[in-house]
Amino acid sequence: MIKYFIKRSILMVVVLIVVITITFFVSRCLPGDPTALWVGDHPTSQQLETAREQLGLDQPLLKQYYSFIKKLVRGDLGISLRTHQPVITELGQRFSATFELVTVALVLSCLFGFPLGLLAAMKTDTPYDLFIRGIGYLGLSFPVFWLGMILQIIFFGKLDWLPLQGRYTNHIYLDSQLIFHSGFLLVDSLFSGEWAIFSDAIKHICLPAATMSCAVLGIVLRTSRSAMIDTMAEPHFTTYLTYGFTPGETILRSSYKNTLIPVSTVVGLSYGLLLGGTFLVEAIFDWPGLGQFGVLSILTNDFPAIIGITFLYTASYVVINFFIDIIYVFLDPRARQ
Amino acid sequence: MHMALQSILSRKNAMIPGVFLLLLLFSSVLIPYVSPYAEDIRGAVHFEAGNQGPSLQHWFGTDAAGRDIFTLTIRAGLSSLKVALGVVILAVLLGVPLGLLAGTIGRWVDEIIMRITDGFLAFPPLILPLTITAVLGPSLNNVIIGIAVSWFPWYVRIARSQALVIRSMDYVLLSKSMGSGNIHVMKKHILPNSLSPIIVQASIDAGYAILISAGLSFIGLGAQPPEAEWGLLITQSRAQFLNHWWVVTFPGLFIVGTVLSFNMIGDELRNVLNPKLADQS
Amino acid sequence: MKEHLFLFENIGVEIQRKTKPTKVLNNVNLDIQEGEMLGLIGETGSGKSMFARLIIDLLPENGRLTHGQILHRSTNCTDGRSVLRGRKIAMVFQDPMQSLNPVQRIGKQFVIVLQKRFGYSNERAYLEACDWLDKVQISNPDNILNRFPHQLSGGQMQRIMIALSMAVKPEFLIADEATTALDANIKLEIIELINSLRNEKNTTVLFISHDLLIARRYCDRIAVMNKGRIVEINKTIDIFSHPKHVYTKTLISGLHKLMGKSHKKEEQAEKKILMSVKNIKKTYTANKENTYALEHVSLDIYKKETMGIIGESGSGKTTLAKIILNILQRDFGSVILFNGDGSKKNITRPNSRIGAVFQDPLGSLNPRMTVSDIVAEPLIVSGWKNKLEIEEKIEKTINKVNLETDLLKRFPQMLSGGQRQRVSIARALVLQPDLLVLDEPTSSLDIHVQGIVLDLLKELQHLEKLTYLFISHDLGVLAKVADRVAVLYQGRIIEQGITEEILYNPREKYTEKLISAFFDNNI
Repeated sequence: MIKYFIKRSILMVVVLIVVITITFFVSRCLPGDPTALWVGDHPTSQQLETAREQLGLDQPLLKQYYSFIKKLVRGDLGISLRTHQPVITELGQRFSATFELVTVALVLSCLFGFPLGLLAAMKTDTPYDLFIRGIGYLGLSFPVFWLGMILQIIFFGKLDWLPLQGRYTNHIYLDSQLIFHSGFLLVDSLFSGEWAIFSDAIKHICLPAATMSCAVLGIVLRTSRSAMIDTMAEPHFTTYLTYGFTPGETILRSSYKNTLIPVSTVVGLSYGLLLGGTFLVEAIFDWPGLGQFGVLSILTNDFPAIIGITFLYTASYVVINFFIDIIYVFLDPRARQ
Repeated sequence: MHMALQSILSRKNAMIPGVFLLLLLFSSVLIPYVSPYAEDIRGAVHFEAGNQGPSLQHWFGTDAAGRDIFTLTIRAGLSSLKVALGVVILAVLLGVPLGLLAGTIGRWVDEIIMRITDGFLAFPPLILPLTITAVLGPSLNNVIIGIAVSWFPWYVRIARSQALVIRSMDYVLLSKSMGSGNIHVMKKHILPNSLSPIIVQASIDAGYAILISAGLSFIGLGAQPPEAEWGLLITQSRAQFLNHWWVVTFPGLFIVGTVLSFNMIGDELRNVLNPKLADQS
Repeated sequence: MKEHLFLFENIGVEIQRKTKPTKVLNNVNLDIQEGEMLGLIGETGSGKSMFARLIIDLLPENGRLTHGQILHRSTNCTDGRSVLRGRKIAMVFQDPMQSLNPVQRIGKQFVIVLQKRFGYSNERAYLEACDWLDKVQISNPDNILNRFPHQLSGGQMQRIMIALSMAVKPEFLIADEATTALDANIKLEIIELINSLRNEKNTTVLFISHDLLIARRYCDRIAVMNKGRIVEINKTIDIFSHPKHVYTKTLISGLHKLMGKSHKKEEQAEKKILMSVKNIKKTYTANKENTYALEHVSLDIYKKETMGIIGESGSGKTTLAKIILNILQRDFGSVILFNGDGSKKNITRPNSRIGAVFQDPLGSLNPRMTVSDIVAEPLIVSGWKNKLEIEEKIEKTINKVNLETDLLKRFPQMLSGGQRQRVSIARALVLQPDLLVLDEPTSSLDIHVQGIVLDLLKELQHLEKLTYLFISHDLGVLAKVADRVAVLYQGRIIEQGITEEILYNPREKYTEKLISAFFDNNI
C-alpha cells in the first residue's frame, strides 16, 4: 500500500510539471500584445520598451520558462497585467469564495444524487425509477448558465425569495464580528454565532450552488444507480438473499461498499466539472470568486493571471484525484495488487 | 449490425428524440426561406419592435433589438448540430486510432500514448476548451477544434481498453496462430468489436459539445455576432432577462431539448449494443 | 416411514423470455425425505437450478410458479417460503469465489450472517466462525477470516461457504453444482466434507449436479431431470443397474463409455516423430495471482497419434499450448517441427502446419464475422487471393465437419455450441495442417454434444491423417481419445507414457488423485 502511495505521489508531481509546462507555452501563444494591456491606453514606444523589459518578454522563450518555474516554486505567480496586483494575491482573495461554492455544490449533489440513485436501482422500471432518472437526465441537459438565469427569474424576479447576486449583503457583513476566519463564510459565521450573516450567506449561496450541482447531480445519480444495479446482479448479493436478508438489509450491511467504489471515481470527475462551471456560474451570480476573475483574464489576454488560474484549478483537480485514487484503493481490496 | 439497426428503429425512446433532431435540422436549414423575419438572421435590427412578449406575430417574442426570437432560435439549431457533429467526428478520428494502436501493440507505444493522454486528462473539463479557444481566437469553428482536442483523450482511453479486452479473446489468439499480423488483427477483429462503446460515448458527447459551446459563446469566446447560436442569443439579452423572460427561456429550452435528445439516443444505443443489458435468454 | 421433508406436487414454472413465456419446469413431482442425500442430475438447461431457486422462493424477476403446490412437513407453503431462507434451508453455490462480497472481509460477512440468524454479539459470532472453520479443516482461522475472498483458493472458499451454510443450522442444504467449478482433486474433498457434515448433523441434502459419478458415490437416491421434467427417481443402486427411462439410459451408457477400457491404438507401427518440444521454460501467472513457471517441459509427438496432456487450472497447460503455437514467447527451450524428409526446424513463429482449437466455442469466433469469413481467414492471411478457390475450399472444409453450407452466411450467435466448435475445427483444418493443438475442445459443451464432437475429431484424424495434441483437465475424455498422456502439474510434467499404463499404474501421488476423481474401481 505504501508503495502505491509513493508511486501515485510521484506521478502526481510529474503530471503537475507537465501541466505547468503546457499551460506556460499555450499562454504564450495567446493573441494580443501583453505589453499593450500592461501599459494601458496610448502607449509611447518608450513605454512599451520599458514594459517589455519589466515583464521579461524580451528574453528568449526558454529563459522565460526557467524564470517562470523558479518564481513558481517561490510562490510568485507574477503580476496581473490587468489589475497590476500580484496574481497570487488576487487568487488568494477569491479562493475561498469559489471553493466554498464548489464544496457546497458537491455536497448537495452527493447528498441527493447518491440516495436517489440507490432508490431508483431498487425500484427499477417502476414510475419512481423513471421519475428519478428523468430528473437526472434533465439535470445533465441543462446549460448551467441558462439554468442559473431561469432560477433567478423565478426565485428573485417572480417570487423574491432569494437575492439576485453576490455572496453576501454588504451592510450585514460589515456590521458583524467574526471570530472564526477560515475564509469560508458559512463556517465562519456558524462558529462565530453570527446568525444574521449565516442566514444571509445561505440565502446567497442557494441559487448558485443549486445551479452548479444540477449537472453533477445527474452524473452522481446515474452512476449510483447503475452501480447499485450491477451490485444487485452479482452472485454475492443473491447469497445474502438466500440467507434470509432483504435487499435493503443486504445493501445496508454489505453491498453499499460496492457502490461506493464507482461513485468515488465519479466524485473526482464531478469536482472537475464543478470547477469548470465556476466560470459560467460566477459570472451570472456576480460571485466574487476565481471563475469571474478567470473569465475577465481570458477576455483581456492577461496571461500571468490565466496561468495562475489554470495552474491553481488544475493542481487542485490533480490533488483531489490523487486523494480519490487513494480512497479507491482503500475501498476496493482487489486493487491492492 | 443490421439487427442493431432494426432494434433501435423500433424503440420509441430513440425514435422520438431522433425525430426531434431531424425536424430541427430541416427547419433550421429551411427557415431563412420560410420566415418573414429572415433578415434578422443576417443582423437586421428594428429597435421600435424591441422587447415584445410572445404574440401571434412573434411566436417567441422579440429581443431588445427587435429581432424575432423564434427565427433566430430555430436558425441557431444549425450551429449547434454543426458543433455536435464536428466535435464528435474530430475527437473520434483523433482518439480512436491512437487508442487502438496503444491497446493492440502495447509496450512503449502504449506508455507514450497513455502519458500524453494522462496529461490532457489532468485538466478540469472546461479549462482546455476555454484556453485553446482563447488562443485560436473566438469563433465557432475554433470552439469545435478546442473541444475536440480536449476530448479526444477520452476516446483514446475507450478504444484502448476495448483493444486490451479484445486482444486477449480467443478468436484473436487463434487469428495470431494463423500468422496474422497486428494490422490485420486491428482491422478485422479489434475495430469492429470496439465500435459499440465508442458509438454510445459519441452520441452522448454530441450533446455535451453543444452545452460547452453554448457556454463558451455565452462568455464571448464562441460564436460571434451576427451568427445565430443559442448561447450567444442568451448572452446578448442578459441585460433584459429579468423582466423579459422570453428572451432567454426559448433558446435555453432548445438547448435542453437537443442535448436531452442526444442523451436519450445515446442511452438507447447503449441498451441495444451492450449484450450485458440485453434480455437474458 | 420417514416423513417427507418437502413434497413438490405438479410444479409448473415459466419464465417470460422477450415475448413468449417458456416452461422451465413442467409437471415436476418430487419428494425429499428427511436425512437423505438426494441427487438431482441433469444437463445444462434441464431446469435443475431453476428448481433450486424455486425451493427457496428466489425465482428470477421474470419467472413465476404457474401451478402446483409445495409442502414442508405437511404444511402447505406454496405461497411463500422466504422465512425458511437461512433458517431451515441453506444453499451452497457453484462459484465459491463469487459467493461472498469481494470488498468486505470474510470474517465480517460470516459474523453478519450469524448475527442475522441468531442475534449473537460480534465476539460470539466471531468465535462460532472460527469453530466452523476448524470443522471444515481450514487451518489458522484468524488469519483466514481477516482476508478477502480473492486472496483464497476456490477450494478454501468453498469450504468456508459450506461452513457458513451449516453454521445457520439448517435442516436442509442445497448444493447447487457445488463441486463443478473445482479442480478434480478438490472435488472429492469437498463432497466428502459435505457428506461427513450431513451425517454428523443429520442434515438433508439436495445435491444438484451433472456429475453422475459423484452422485453415484454419495447420494442415497437420484432424480434425473431432463427438459424441465423429472424423468426418473429411484434409489441410486437401482438407477444404475436398472435405469428405466430412455434419457437415464443414455446418460449411464455415456458414462460407461468414458469409463470403459481406454481405446487401443489401431496402428502401433507408425512411430515417426512430428514434433519435439524440448526444455521449455516460461514464467506465467495462474488465476490472476500466483506466478508459476513451466520448467523443463519436454515431450515428443509422433505422427498420427493423439498425445494427451492432462492438467488442471494453474498447471500451465494453456501457456504451453500458446508456446507451441508460437503466439507466446518462451523464455527458453525449443519447439522443433520435423519435415517429411527428416529435416527439422526450431520454429519461433506461427506455422501453417499447426492448427488450433480452443475451449470456448463462443469466444473462439468473432461475433462480427460470418462463418464463411471465419473459415476463410487463414486462407486470406496466407495470401490466397482467388475468390472462387477460397469459396471452394471453404465449402469442402465445412462439409468435412458435417455442417451444411447454408450455415456459411450466419453469425456465430445464431449457432449452437456444437456447431460453433465445428466451425472452429473447420477453420483449423482449412490450411491442411499436420498437427492440431486442441485445448479443452469439448469442455464447454453439453455432455451429449461432447460425444458428437469427439467422434468427429476421431473421424477427421483418420481421413486427414492428423496428429493431435489434446489438452484437457478431464481424464475421462483423455482416456477415451489419447494414445499417450503427459501429466502436467504446476508447470512440470510429472509423468508421461501410454495412456493405459498411466491409468492403471500411476507413479505419482497427484496422478493417483486425478484418477480416483474420475474412476470408480467397482465398475
